[in-house]
Amino acid sequence: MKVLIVDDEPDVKDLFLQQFRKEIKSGLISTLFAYSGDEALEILASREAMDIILIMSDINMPGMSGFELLKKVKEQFPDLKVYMVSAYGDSENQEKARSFGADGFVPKPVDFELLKRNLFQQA
Amino acid sequence: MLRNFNTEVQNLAGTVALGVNIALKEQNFEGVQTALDFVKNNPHLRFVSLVQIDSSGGSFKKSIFKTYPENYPANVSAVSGDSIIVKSAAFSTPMMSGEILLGLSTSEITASKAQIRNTSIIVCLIVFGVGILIGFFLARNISVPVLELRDAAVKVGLGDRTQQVKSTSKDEIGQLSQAFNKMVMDLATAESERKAAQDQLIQSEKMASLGQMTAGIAHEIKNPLNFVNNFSKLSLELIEEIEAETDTQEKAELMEVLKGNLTKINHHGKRADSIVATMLQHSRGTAGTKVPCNLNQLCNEYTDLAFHGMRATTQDFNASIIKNFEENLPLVHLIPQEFSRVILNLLNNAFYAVNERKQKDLEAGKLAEQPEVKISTQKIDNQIIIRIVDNGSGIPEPIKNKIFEPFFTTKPTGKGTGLGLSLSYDIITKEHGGKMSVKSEPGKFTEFILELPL
Repeated sequence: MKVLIVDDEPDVKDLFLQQFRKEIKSGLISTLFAYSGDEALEILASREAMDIILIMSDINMPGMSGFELLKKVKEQFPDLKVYMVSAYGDSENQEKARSFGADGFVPKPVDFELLKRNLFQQA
Repeated sequence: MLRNFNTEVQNLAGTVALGVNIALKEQNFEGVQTALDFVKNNPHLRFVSLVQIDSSGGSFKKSIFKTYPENYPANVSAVSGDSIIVKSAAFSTPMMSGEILLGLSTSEITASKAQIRNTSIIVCLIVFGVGILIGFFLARNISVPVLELRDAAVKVGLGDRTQQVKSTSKDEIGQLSQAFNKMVMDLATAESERKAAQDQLIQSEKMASLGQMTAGIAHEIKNPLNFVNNFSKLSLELIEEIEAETDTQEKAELMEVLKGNLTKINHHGKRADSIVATMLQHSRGTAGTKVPCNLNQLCNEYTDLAFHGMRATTQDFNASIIKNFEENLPLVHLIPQEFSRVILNLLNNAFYAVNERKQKDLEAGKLAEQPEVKISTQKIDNQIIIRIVDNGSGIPEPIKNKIFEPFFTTKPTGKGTGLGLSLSYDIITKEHGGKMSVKSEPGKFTEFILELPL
């Protein structure tokens, strides 16, 4: 399963790589990283994107916000699953994400155990 | 007065001479007596003489014919002296020619002269005394209260609102004093009410900016916490792995990862701590003291707070932020909680302006320019220059010199207090001895320039 993670904070990459170390080793999951919405769209437009099945995007990013990215992704790739990741875990924000077509909502700080259970049950 | 008396004596003498003339013509000697009697009762009379002039033989010879009082030593050649006025009046009849010699005392005149002089002196003294009394009275009742009023008014003018003047009299001055006292009291009350209202507004402006920050703060704390929680959990797992690992090469690699994680935990922990400290500083109402500050770090934190705050509160808000901080700036002496308010306020305005312009462009069907906010720091000579530039709606020329006035706002009711820029201006100019200026072209850009002395 190939996942694209979008967040403006560089340490997010390290965090996901370590958290999914075993799953990456065993080939259960592979990850791609983008630091902005624009970069994410570029990756999606490239060949690398062929087997991406999930995008996990932060909402608050400089430039294009996570919601804008969500709208664009859903327009261009309706089958692609998108999870929103945000420090604003309030129900209003979750509801907004759902109304824009998000398939999941991950509040920060991320509970990786819960996230893994969720991901691999679906897989 | 003496001249009048001379004339009076002459007239009297003439009258007597006329009477004698008539009586002698008629040879009526009783008539002569009656004519002389005419002056006998005059209180000033010293003497009256009937002088006979014998002109026979070509020579005049005067002789006293009769004198009253009879014992008066009358003399035909008597003349006026210090105490007597002597006048003569001639008469001439076929029977006898001569003159009436009348002497009247001037002592009465002298006495009345002295009396007049004394009276004049007394009157003068009285008038003078009364004048002095009136002067004292006026001074006590008009000048002194008026001077007191003037002094009190000057003090009130200088800002002392506790001045009250004594008012005991019931006249216009007393009424004026009472009116003055009431005016000063009303002024003090009005001022304290205005001050209270102003303080409340300033407080609400602070709370409003804190509200704008809160959403940003949530983001800025939860993100570091995400790293702290997850990297610490990972580190625990790593330690277990390291303990179980037998390969030294592998063990060393894991140790490096562990070190990296702990460094990240520390970094993000400090980040969260700094955000909380910032928030506390910001919410503290009282003015703080100047401390040496890392200006770049402060600008960076507040730019992020303002951005995430705007992001969280404004639908579809989007902007690029370009930070251009000059490296190795010296520490700047700032009151951090006050100065940060300025940065937050200017950035909030910038974000508001770019968003407003984008909405207008979209409504007008124009291709919207990418919203962009730039913040830069720069050291020029002995000054630090901070520029905040946005490509938003801009400030029209007519209102450019009004934007620093208190309560001036272009935002819709409820969106802005109109105090943000005026408070910012005071903070930069009064509290930090700096300058704050603005350049703008409507529809193009707005640039706020802060100059801080080092």
